[in-house]
Amino acid sequence: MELDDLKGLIELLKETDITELLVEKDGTKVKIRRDKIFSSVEIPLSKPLQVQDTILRETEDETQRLITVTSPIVGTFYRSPSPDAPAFVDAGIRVKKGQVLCIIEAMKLMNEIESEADGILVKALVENGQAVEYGEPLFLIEPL
Amino acid sequence: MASNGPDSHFPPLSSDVIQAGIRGGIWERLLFFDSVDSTNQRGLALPASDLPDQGAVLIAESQTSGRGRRGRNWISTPYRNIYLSAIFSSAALPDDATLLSLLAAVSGAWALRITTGLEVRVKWPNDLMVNNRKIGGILSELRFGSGRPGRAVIGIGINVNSEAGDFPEELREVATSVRVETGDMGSREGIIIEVLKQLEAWHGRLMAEGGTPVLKEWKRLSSTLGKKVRVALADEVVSGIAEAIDEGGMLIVRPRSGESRRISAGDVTELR
Repeated sequence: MELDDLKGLIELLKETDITELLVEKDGTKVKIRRDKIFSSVEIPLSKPLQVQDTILRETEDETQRLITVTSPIVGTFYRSPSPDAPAFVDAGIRVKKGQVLCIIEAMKLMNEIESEADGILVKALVENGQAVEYGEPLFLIEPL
Repeated sequence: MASNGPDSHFPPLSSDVIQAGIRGGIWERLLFFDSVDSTNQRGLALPASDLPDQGAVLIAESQTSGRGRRGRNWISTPYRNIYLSAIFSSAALPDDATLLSLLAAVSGAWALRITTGLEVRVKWPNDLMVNNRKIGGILSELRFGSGRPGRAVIGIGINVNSEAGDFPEELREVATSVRVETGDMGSREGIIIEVLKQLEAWHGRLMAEGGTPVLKEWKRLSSTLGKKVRVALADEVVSGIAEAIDEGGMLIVRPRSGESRRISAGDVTELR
């Protein structure tokens, strides 16, 4: 069962007056209960709910924390200063605010795109030499 | 190959003459160097506190690693030619800073036409050409921090007094200079002053009227439009007719079959 499935189930529960949901898929059993159980100290929380609730919160936090670097112009994306040179940045490395992440060339104007924050480069989203549009996502950075 | 020092035949630039020639314009600061790695590199590294409100110019007698496109080298024979970077501060940038690249081509072409009489044309996006040979090249650099552009550094190299023998063997068929074309020594100061005046004038029009006048003039000077071209992109080659440039300066190429391509970066070879 995927996280998205769990999210969907929890959303479903929120939208209805169902208080308990049992789902079995691919051998995984999930039980979600809600409402009064949360506010009651006398009744212990069911274990599945605790786990899923934590996962859900972490996932939301993760997505919110990542910075998406987008292209400020239309042009051609390069990950290195020249075809023979190593990439400015690779996934997993630490980047500093103001560090050059890539070049976007348009009409022989080389636009060096700087990192907006200190962080870890999580992912490069565009291939070298690819045409990019205005606002297109280029990198994901986890700020530190 | 000529010697690499200044002598009576190849005197150093007169900063006084250049300063006097452009007094009162947007070029509030002129910086002269004997030798630099590249004028663009210096322009990008110039501390913000040294950058005037509008513009500054860096001029060098030689470059040890003059820059071309995608890490290529720009041959920078000392005391013969022009190696300069014009810096527009962020306050002087137009809405579409990319147009500065075409603006520099128009300015360079007119400066050479006025000072030498040569019929200089522009190959997309901004090579300065005489009789299908390159007499000048332009490479611009800009840094974006937090989605906002900083200064724009427009690097301009013009071959003025290089002789054919000064060019490396592999460039002799494709490169030229004022001296090779006219048989006479060109005035580097005179050309620099005119380049800076033209840049200032076209920049003024760009800021006041938008991109239309610059694009119109670029089209008039273009050697590329209407020709069959081959364009080497990062990972493919596109061949077809160079039909037009769009409002941002991108080249529209119509292949023999299939849809037209809009190209932002590539090396153009004009076939006929």
